[in-house]
Amino acid sequence: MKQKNYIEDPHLKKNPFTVPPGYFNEMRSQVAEKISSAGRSPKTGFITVIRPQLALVSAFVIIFFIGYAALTIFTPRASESDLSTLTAGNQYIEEGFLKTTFIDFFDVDGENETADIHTIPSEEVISYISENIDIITLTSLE
Amino acid sequence: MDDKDLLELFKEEGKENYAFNLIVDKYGERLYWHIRKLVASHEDANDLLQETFIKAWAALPRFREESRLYTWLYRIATNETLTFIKRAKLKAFLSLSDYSRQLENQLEADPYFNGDNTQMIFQKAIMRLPSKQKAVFNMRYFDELSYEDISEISGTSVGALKASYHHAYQKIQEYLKETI
Repeated sequence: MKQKNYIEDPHLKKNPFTVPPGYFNEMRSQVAEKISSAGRSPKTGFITVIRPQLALVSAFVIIFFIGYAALTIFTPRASESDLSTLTAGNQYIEEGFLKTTFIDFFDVDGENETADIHTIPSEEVISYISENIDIITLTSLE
Repeated sequence: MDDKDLLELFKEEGKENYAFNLIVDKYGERLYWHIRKLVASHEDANDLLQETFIKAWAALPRFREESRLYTWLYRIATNETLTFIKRAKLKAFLSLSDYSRQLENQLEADPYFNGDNTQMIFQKAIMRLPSKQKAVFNMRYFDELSYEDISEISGTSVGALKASYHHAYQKIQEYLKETI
Protein backbone atom coordinates (compact mmCIF):
# COMPACT_ATOMS: atom_id res chain seq x y z
CA MET A 1 0.00 0.00 0.00
CA LYS A 2 1.35 3.39 -0.95
CA GLN A 3 1.92 5.70 2.03
CA LYS A 4 0.17 9.06 2.04
CA ASN A 5 2.42 11.99 1.26
CA TYR A 6 1.07 14.69 3.54
CA ILE A 7 3.47 17.42 2.43
CA GLU A 8 2.21 17.33 -1.15
CA ASP A 9 -1.33 18.05 0.03
CA PRO A 10 -2.19 21.45 -1.57
CA HIS A 11 -4.13 22.39 1.55
CA LEU A 12 -0.85 22.58 3.52
CA LYS A 13 0.63 25.03 1.02
CA LYS A 14 -2.01 27.58 2.00
CA ASN A 15 -0.84 30.30 4.36
CA PRO A 16 -2.45 29.68 7.77
CA PHE A 17 -1.23 32.97 9.26
CA THR A 18 -3.14 36.25 9.22
CA VAL A 19 -2.35 39.84 10.21
CA PRO A 20 -4.33 42.51 12.10
CA PRO A 21 -6.66 44.49 9.79
CA GLY A 22 -4.88 47.27 7.88
CA TYR A 23 -1.48 46.05 9.00
CA PHE A 24 0.33 46.33 5.66
CA ASN A 25 -0.75 49.95 5.10
CA GLU A 26 0.32 50.77 8.63
CA MET A 27 3.65 49.02 8.13
CA ARG A 28 4.31 51.01 4.93
CA SER A 29 3.70 54.32 6.68
CA GLN A 30 5.83 53.24 9.67
CA VAL A 31 8.75 52.37 7.40
CA ALA A 32 8.28 55.60 5.41
CA GLU A 33 8.32 57.58 8.66
CA LYS A 34 11.44 55.83 9.88
CA ILE A 35 13.41 56.40 6.69
CA SER A 36 12.32 60.05 6.60
CA SER A 37 13.52 60.60 10.16
CA ALA A 38 16.76 58.76 9.30
CA GLY A 39 17.36 61.40 6.62
CA ARG A 40 19.05 60.90 3.27
CA SER A 41 20.53 57.46 2.88
CA PRO A 42 24.28 57.64 3.38
CA LYS A 43 26.37 57.73 0.24
CA THR A 44 29.35 55.47 -0.04
CA GLY A 45 32.38 57.39 1.17
CA PHE A 46 35.87 56.36 2.21
CA ILE A 47 35.04 56.82 5.89
CA THR A 48 31.83 54.81 5.51
CA VAL A 49 33.77 51.95 3.96
CA ILE A 50 36.57 51.86 6.53
CA ARG A 51 34.34 52.64 9.53
CA PRO A 52 34.27 49.02 10.85
CA GLN A 53 38.06 48.73 10.57
CA LEU A 54 38.50 52.09 12.30
CA ALA A 55 36.22 50.95 15.10
CA LEU A 56 38.26 47.74 15.51
CA VAL A 57 41.59 49.59 15.63
CA SER A 58 40.17 52.12 18.12
CA ALA A 59 38.94 49.30 20.32
CA PHE A 60 42.43 47.71 20.35
CA VAL A 61 44.10 51.03 21.16
CA ILE A 62 41.67 51.67 24.03
CA ILE A 63 42.18 48.14 25.41
CA PHE A 64 45.97 48.59 25.19
CA PHE A 65 45.88 51.89 27.10
CA ILE A 66 43.53 50.51 29.74
CA GLY A 67 45.87 47.55 30.23
CA TYR A 68 48.93 49.81 30.36
CA ALA A 69 47.25 52.17 32.84
CA ALA A 70 46.16 49.25 35.02
CA LEU A 71 49.71 47.85 35.07
CA THR A 72 51.17 51.27 35.88
CA ILE A 73 48.70 51.95 38.67
CA PHE A 74 48.67 48.56 40.34
CA THR A 75 52.35 47.58 40.06
CA PRO A 76 54.00 48.42 43.47
CA ARG A 77 56.71 51.02 43.01
CA ALA A 78 59.01 52.51 45.74
CA SER A 79 58.57 56.25 46.25
CA GLU A 80 61.46 58.72 46.55
CA SER A 81 61.16 59.06 50.35
CA ASP A 82 61.09 55.27 50.73
CA LEU A 83 64.24 55.05 48.66
CA SER A 84 66.10 57.60 50.79
CA THR A 85 65.05 55.77 53.99
CA LEU A 86 66.20 52.48 52.55
CA THR A 87 69.53 53.96 51.51
CA ALA A 88 70.07 55.43 54.98
CA GLY A 89 69.06 52.10 56.51
CA ASN A 90 71.52 50.21 54.35
CA GLN A 91 74.26 52.62 55.28
CA TYR A 92 73.42 52.20 58.95
CA ILE A 93 73.64 48.44 58.67
CA GLU A 94 76.90 48.63 56.79
CA GLU A 95 78.38 50.82 59.49
CA GLY A 96 77.49 48.19 62.07
CA PHE A 97 75.12 50.28 64.14
CA LEU A 98 72.13 48.22 63.47
CA LYS A 99 71.83 44.55 64.16
CA THR A 100 68.94 42.60 62.98
CA THR A 101 68.43 39.91 65.59
CA PHE A 102 67.53 39.97 69.23
CA ILE A 103 70.72 38.12 70.17
CA ASP A 104 72.79 40.71 68.40
CA PHE A 105 71.12 43.48 70.36
CA PHE A 106 71.57 41.55 73.57
CA ASP A 107 75.27 40.93 72.93
CA VAL A 108 75.90 44.53 72.04
CA ASP A 109 74.29 45.77 75.26
CA GLY A 110 76.12 43.20 77.39
CA GLU A 111 79.48 44.06 75.88
CA ASN A 112 78.86 47.78 76.32
CA GLU A 113 77.78 47.42 79.95
CA THR A 114 80.80 45.32 80.82
CA ALA A 115 83.08 47.68 79.00
CA ASP A 116 81.58 50.68 80.84
CA ILE A 117 82.03 49.07 84.24
CA HIS A 118 85.63 48.22 83.54
CA THR A 119 86.54 51.63 82.25
CA ILE A 120 85.25 53.68 85.28
CA PRO A 121 87.98 54.00 87.94
CA SER A 122 86.99 52.83 91.45
CA GLU A 123 87.98 56.20 92.99
CA GLU A 124 85.36 57.93 90.86
CA VAL A 125 82.73 55.40 91.96
CA ILE A 126 83.49 55.95 95.62
CA SER A 127 83.45 59.75 95.34
CA TYR A 128 80.18 59.58 93.38
CA ILE A 129 78.51 57.45 96.06
CA SER A 130 79.78 59.59 98.88
CA GLU A 131 78.54 62.75 97.24
CA ASN A 132 75.11 61.51 96.19
CA ILE A 133 73.91 58.87 98.61
CA ASP A 134 73.26 59.70 102.23
CA ILE A 135 74.18 57.47 105.14
CA ILE A 136 70.65 56.18 105.67
CA THR A 137 70.48 54.79 102.21
CA LEU A 138 73.88 53.15 102.70
CA THR A 139 72.80 51.45 105.95
CA SER A 140 69.55 50.24 104.41
CA LEU A 141 71.55 48.47 101.72
CA GLU A 142 73.13 46.25 104.30
CA MET B 1 7.84 49.25 -12.28
CA ASP B 2 10.61 46.69 -12.43
CA ASP B 3 13.61 46.54 -10.10
CA LYS B 4 16.00 48.18 -12.56
CA ASP B 5 13.70 51.22 -12.90
CA LEU B 6 13.27 51.37 -9.13
CA LEU B 7 17.03 51.42 -8.64
CA GLU B 8 17.47 54.10 -11.30
CA LEU B 9 14.80 56.19 -9.59
CA PHE B 10 16.53 55.71 -6.25
CA LYS B 11 19.76 57.12 -7.71
CA GLU B 12 18.02 60.32 -8.82
CA GLU B 13 18.63 63.32 -6.55
CA GLY B 14 15.69 63.92 -4.18
CA LYS B 15 13.77 60.81 -5.22
CA GLU B 16 15.34 58.30 -2.84
CA ASN B 17 12.45 58.29 -0.37
CA TYR B 18 9.84 57.93 -3.08
CA ALA B 19 11.74 55.11 -4.79
CA PHE B 20 12.32 53.34 -1.51
CA ASN B 21 8.64 53.54 -0.58
CA LEU B 22 7.86 51.88 -3.90
CA ILE B 23 10.30 49.10 -3.02
CA VAL B 24 8.55 48.66 0.36
CA ASP B 25 5.19 48.50 -1.45
CA LYS B 26 6.49 45.90 -3.86
CA TYR B 27 8.32 43.58 -1.44
CA GLY B 28 6.96 44.39 2.02
CA GLU B 29 4.23 41.76 2.09
CA ARG B 30 6.34 39.02 0.59
CA LEU B 31 9.18 39.63 3.03
CA TYR B 32 6.75 39.82 5.94
CA TRP B 33 5.39 36.34 5.21
CA HIS B 34 8.89 34.95 4.79
CA ILE B 35 9.87 36.30 8.22
CA ARG B 36 6.56 35.40 9.86
CA LYS B 37 6.83 31.74 8.86
CA LEU B 38 10.25 31.61 10.51
CA VAL B 39 9.39 33.29 13.83
CA ALA B 40 5.62 32.57 14.11
CA SER B 41 4.83 35.72 16.11
CA HIS B 42 3.32 38.71 14.29
CA GLU B 43 5.02 41.24 16.60
CA ASP B 44 8.47 39.72 16.05
CA ALA B 45 7.86 39.53 12.31
CA ASN B 46 6.83 43.20 12.21
CA ASP B 47 9.92 44.31 14.14
CA LEU B 48 12.20 42.23 11.94
CA LEU B 49 10.60 43.50 8.74
CA GLN B 50 11.07 47.11 9.79
CA GLU B 51 14.66 46.38 10.78
CA THR B 52 15.19 44.75 7.37
CA PHE B 53 13.96 47.86 5.55
CA ILE B 54 16.01 50.22 7.72
CA LYS B 55 19.12 48.17 6.91
CA ALA B 56 18.21 48.05 3.22
CA TRP B 57 17.72 51.85 3.21
CA ALA B 58 21.16 52.37 4.70
CA ALA B 59 22.85 49.87 2.39
CA LEU B 60 21.04 50.55 -0.89
CA PRO B 61 23.50 53.26 -2.09
CA ARG B 62 26.20 50.56 -1.91
CA PHE B 63 24.09 47.98 -3.75
CA ARG B 64 26.16 47.01 -6.78
CA GLU B 65 23.46 45.13 -8.67
CA GLU B 66 25.57 41.97 -8.74
CA SER B 67 22.49 40.23 -7.37
CA ARG B 68 18.85 41.03 -8.02
CA LEU B 69 17.06 43.44 -5.72
CA TYR B 70 14.55 40.92 -4.40
CA THR B 71 17.20 38.27 -3.60
CA TRP B 72 19.24 41.00 -1.89
CA LEU B 73 16.23 42.02 0.22
CA TYR B 74 15.47 38.38 0.98
CA ARG B 75 19.06 37.93 2.11
CA ILE B 76 18.85 40.88 4.52
CA ALA B 77 15.52 39.64 5.89
CA THR B 78 16.78 36.06 6.29
CA ASN B 79 20.00 37.16 8.01
CA GLU B 80 18.10 39.45 10.36
CA THR B 81 15.67 36.67 11.23
CA LEU B 82 18.33 33.99 11.72
CA THR B 83 20.29 36.34 14.00
CA PHE B 84 17.10 37.00 15.97
CA ILE B 85 16.42 33.25 16.29
CA LYS B 86 20.00 32.61 17.41
CA ARG B 87 19.60 35.21 20.19
CA ALA B 88 16.19 33.81 21.16
CA LYS B 89 17.66 30.29 21.33
CA LEU B 90 20.46 31.50 23.57
CA LYS B 91 17.97 33.28 25.80
CA ALA B 92 15.85 30.12 25.97
CA PHE B 93 18.95 28.02 26.75
CA LEU B 94 19.91 30.37 29.59
CA SER B 95 16.40 30.14 31.03
CA LEU B 96 16.59 26.32 30.68
CA SER B 97 13.74 26.07 28.21
CA ASP B 98 13.45 24.73 24.67
CA TYR B 99 13.12 27.33 21.88
CA SER B 100 11.15 25.13 19.47
CA ARG B 101 8.76 24.27 22.32
CA GLN B 102 8.37 28.03 22.94
CA LEU B 103 7.54 28.52 19.25
CA GLU B 104 4.95 25.76 19.40
CA ASN B 105 3.31 27.37 22.44
CA GLN B 106 3.37 30.72 20.66
CA LEU B 107 1.70 29.14 17.65
CA GLU B 108 -1.04 27.61 19.78
CA ALA B 109 -1.75 30.93 21.48
CA ASP B 110 -1.42 33.05 18.32
CA PRO B 111 -4.63 35.02 17.63
CA TYR B 112 -3.48 35.49 14.03
CA PHE B 113 -3.28 31.80 13.19
CA ASN B 114 -6.28 30.70 11.16
CA GLY B 115 -5.19 27.24 10.13
CA ASP B 116 -6.87 23.94 10.95
CA ASN B 117 -5.40 21.14 13.04
CA THR B 118 -3.41 19.62 10.15
CA GLN B 119 -1.90 22.99 9.30
CA MET B 120 -1.05 23.50 12.97
CA ILE B 121 0.76 20.15 13.10
CA PHE B 122 2.52 20.96 9.83
CA GLN B 123 3.71 24.33 11.18
CA LYS B 124 4.89 22.66 14.39
CA ALA B 125 6.88 20.17 12.33
CA ILE B 126 8.52 23.08 10.48
CA MET B 127 9.25 24.88 13.77
CA ARG B 128 11.22 21.84 14.93
CA LEU B 129 13.72 22.12 12.07
CA PRO B 130 17.11 23.80 12.55
CA SER B 131 16.69 27.49 11.64
CA LYS B 132 18.71 27.45 8.37
CA GLN B 133 17.00 24.27 7.20
CA LYS B 134 13.65 25.86 8.08
CA ALA B 135 14.49 28.96 6.00
CA VAL B 136 15.50 26.80 3.01
CA PHE B 137 12.37 24.66 3.32
CA ASN B 138 10.06 27.69 3.54
CA MET B 139 11.65 29.50 0.59
CA ARG B 140 11.34 26.41 -1.57
CA TYR B 141 7.98 25.07 -0.37
CA PHE B 142 5.91 28.20 0.29
CA ASP B 143 7.65 30.92 -1.74
CA GLU B 144 8.49 28.48 -4.56
CA LEU B 145 11.87 30.08 -5.16
CA SER B 146 14.29 28.27 -7.44
CA TYR B 147 17.38 26.64 -5.90
CA GLU B 148 19.47 29.19 -7.82
CA ASP B 149 17.64 32.07 -6.15
CA ILE B 150 17.89 30.43 -2.72
CA SER B 151 21.59 29.91 -3.40
CA GLU B 152 21.95 33.64 -4.15
CA ILE B 153 20.08 34.50 -0.95
CA SER B 154 21.82 32.08 1.38
CA GLY B 155 25.26 31.94 -0.23
CA THR B 156 25.07 28.13 -0.19
CA SER B 157 25.63 25.84 -3.16
CA VAL B 158 22.64 24.43 -5.02
CA GLY B 159 23.73 20.87 -4.16
CA ALA B 160 23.88 21.63 -0.45
CA LEU B 161 20.47 23.33 -0.64
CA LYS B 162 18.91 20.29 -2.34
CA ALA B 163 20.30 18.04 0.38
CA SER B 164 19.07 20.42 3.09
CA TYR B 165 15.57 20.56 1.59
CA HIS B 166 15.47 16.78 1.25
CA HIS B 167 16.43 16.30 4.95
CA ALA B 168 13.82 18.84 6.03
CA TYR B 169 11.19 17.16 3.87
CA GLN B 170 11.95 13.73 5.39
CA LYS B 171 11.83 15.06 8.96
CA ILE B 172 8.50 16.80 8.40
CA GLN B 173 7.03 13.75 6.66
CA GLU B 174 8.09 11.56 9.62
CA TYR B 175 6.57 13.97 12.12
CA LEU B 176 3.29 14.20 10.19
CA LYS B 177 3.05 10.39 9.93
CA GLU B 178 3.54 10.05 13.70
CA THR B 179 1.22 12.88 14.68
CA ILE B 180 -1.69 12.90 12.23
